[in-house]
Amino acid sequence: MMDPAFLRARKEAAYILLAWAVCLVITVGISWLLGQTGLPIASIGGIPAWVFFGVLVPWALATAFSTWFSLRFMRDE
Amino acid sequence: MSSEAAASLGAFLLYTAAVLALAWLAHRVGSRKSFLSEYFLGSRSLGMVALALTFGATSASAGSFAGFPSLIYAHGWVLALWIASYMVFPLCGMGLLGKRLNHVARRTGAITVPDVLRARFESRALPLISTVLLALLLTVYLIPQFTLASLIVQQLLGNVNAFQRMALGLAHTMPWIVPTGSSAEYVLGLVLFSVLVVGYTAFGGFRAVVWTDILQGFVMVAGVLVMLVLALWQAGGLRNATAMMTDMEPPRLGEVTFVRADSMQREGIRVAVDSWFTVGDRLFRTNETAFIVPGTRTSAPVKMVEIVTPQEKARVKQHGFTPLPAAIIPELQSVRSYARGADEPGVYVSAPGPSPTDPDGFLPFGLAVSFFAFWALSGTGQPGNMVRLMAFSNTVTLRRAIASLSIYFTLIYVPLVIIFCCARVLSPGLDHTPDRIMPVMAFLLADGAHVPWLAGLLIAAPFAAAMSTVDSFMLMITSSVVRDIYQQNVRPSARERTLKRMSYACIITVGVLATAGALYPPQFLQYIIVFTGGGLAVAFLGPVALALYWPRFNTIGALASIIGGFAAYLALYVLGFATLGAITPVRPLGLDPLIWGFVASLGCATIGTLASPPPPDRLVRQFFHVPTARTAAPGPESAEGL
Repeated sequence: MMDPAFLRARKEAAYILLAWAVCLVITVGISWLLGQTGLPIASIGGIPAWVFFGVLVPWALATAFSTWFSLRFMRDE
Repeated sequence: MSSEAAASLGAFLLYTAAVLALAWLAHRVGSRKSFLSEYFLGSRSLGMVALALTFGATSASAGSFAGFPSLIYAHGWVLALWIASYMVFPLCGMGLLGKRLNHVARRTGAITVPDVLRARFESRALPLISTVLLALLLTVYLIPQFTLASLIVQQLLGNVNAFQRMALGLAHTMPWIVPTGSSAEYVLGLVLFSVLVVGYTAFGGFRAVVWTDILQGFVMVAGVLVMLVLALWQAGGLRNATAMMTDMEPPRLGEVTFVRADSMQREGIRVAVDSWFTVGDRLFRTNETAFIVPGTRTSAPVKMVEIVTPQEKARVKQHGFTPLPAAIIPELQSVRSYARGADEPGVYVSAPGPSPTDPDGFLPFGLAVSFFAFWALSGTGQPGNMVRLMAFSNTVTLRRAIASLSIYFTLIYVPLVIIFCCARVLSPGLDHTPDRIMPVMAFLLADGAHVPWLAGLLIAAPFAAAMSTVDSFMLMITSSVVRDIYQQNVRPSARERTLKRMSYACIITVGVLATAGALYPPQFLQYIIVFTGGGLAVAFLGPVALALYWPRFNTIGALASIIGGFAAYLALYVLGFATLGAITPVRPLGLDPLIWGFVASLGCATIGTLASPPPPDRLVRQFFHVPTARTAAPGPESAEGL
């Protein structure tokens, strides 16, 4: 019988890979759509809007997700 | 002694004393335990703070505090996108493999990454190939780290009289040790760094490395946060700094010679680095020191930068600068515009960012995707990080460390981007030698705050980063040689005393080799770091991840994965060198060789595995099924929190 600890770890690893892919699409996608040279550059609190929405907001969400995932979702063996 | 020199010396001595004290303590604690597991894994007893900070400090090499700031300074806000995958680095780096790797290592008693592969595949060839690859790449990786560390020591102690006298003494008594093209101060900095890092690593082993990593982790984050407050204050706020960057156009880069106008040729003339001068209404800044030696009229060409943004020129002139003496006349040798961004205001606050050489800019779309993969996945595949995942005490530790490290990296990398964007405003015209920006900003910010001793703390941060990476890698090379080659293949019955002596000798040998390599500083440091770091990830991430998660994965698949992935990665670099004539890889579809290396590694692993017989049932049961009395691991090892 497969070890439940192995199955659980594999499931968690799959979710982590998915989270990485989502972050990649959102971060590079938003940054590229809003941040290319030639487009008007808005600023939010001194941070270029494309950095704010493309990098900092995803960064904050990713940190919150990592914290929730590690403290709440991951299981001990 | 100037206050700057005293501050630097004080910080260096204090820091050195703390590192040595920790090594001594670690040695005392570790001497009561079983040598191999203690010396290379700290008896698998890493606690939450230790795991998070040793992982963070090892990942943040000298490049993070020298190379990364210089890139932000040179290319602007686009570096936020370049480094963005650190948002998921802790989750990927620790969460993807951590639980399984730790579990398997405990069940099999593995101490090193090749140990895990040996146990999983019961193969002699696989761990041997991985050990050789690991030792070779890590040794090459160490050379640029030693070089960068020596440059940092030079910047830290260059103004200290005692250091200058020692360097002079070295040049007089042992001139053969100073190679052509290097300075005695560089060699002295290298020797000081080597003796310190080899000494505490050899003496204290893994426990000392982890304890000093904790200290270094705190030094790094404290240095960055203090710099952030000072930079924002002195730049007049982030809004102001970004508004100024929005107006900026990239400068022109070039060379200048200085000619003496008088006929007095007996005395030499020195034009200091970072001197401002004008030619008509054009404004320039030297990026190197120029000398007109006695008996000559002209200096050798030195690097300079021409500021072209009208607002920036007005600001520099408004602050005022000391003009060159009338007896010195600058003669411009060459001036060239940026390949991407010239006459393009706004380029420092948008993507892909300016580039002096690449018409596509610093970070085109394909590279943005590649770097998002590079940091998170390459970090996961570093054997140095994997070893740390084999050393924590329990899963609770891992879970808390992931959460802590996520916050820690946010506190390091986001502020670094802001600080060095402010640096463009506070210290313009260093674009020809941007690697100096970290120490320049440290002294500038400390001076501006009228707290000169603070410069010492700020410069200690990159020194700490260099040390925390070098110590870990030296220990890993040693574990590869002593455990994976000598004990497993040459003399399995070797006594503990022999292994201990071999370990000390190996660390010293690795230190001497890296020092000797760094005596002749290689060019393209950042490329060597990127190449070796990527090579390690490509060679190890696929095989280790599949070994942990795919029961059907077998020896042939693992060998194919290591060899295929690394060969594809290497081929793109070789092809780039052959066709482009530089250490620049070919990037099919604009993607970095690392991505193609991963694709090749996974492809070869799948084909190799499915085309060959499955692994023995016994091995599958041992690694993937519920443990039975026959397959159960030896009892848990003693865990005294690090």
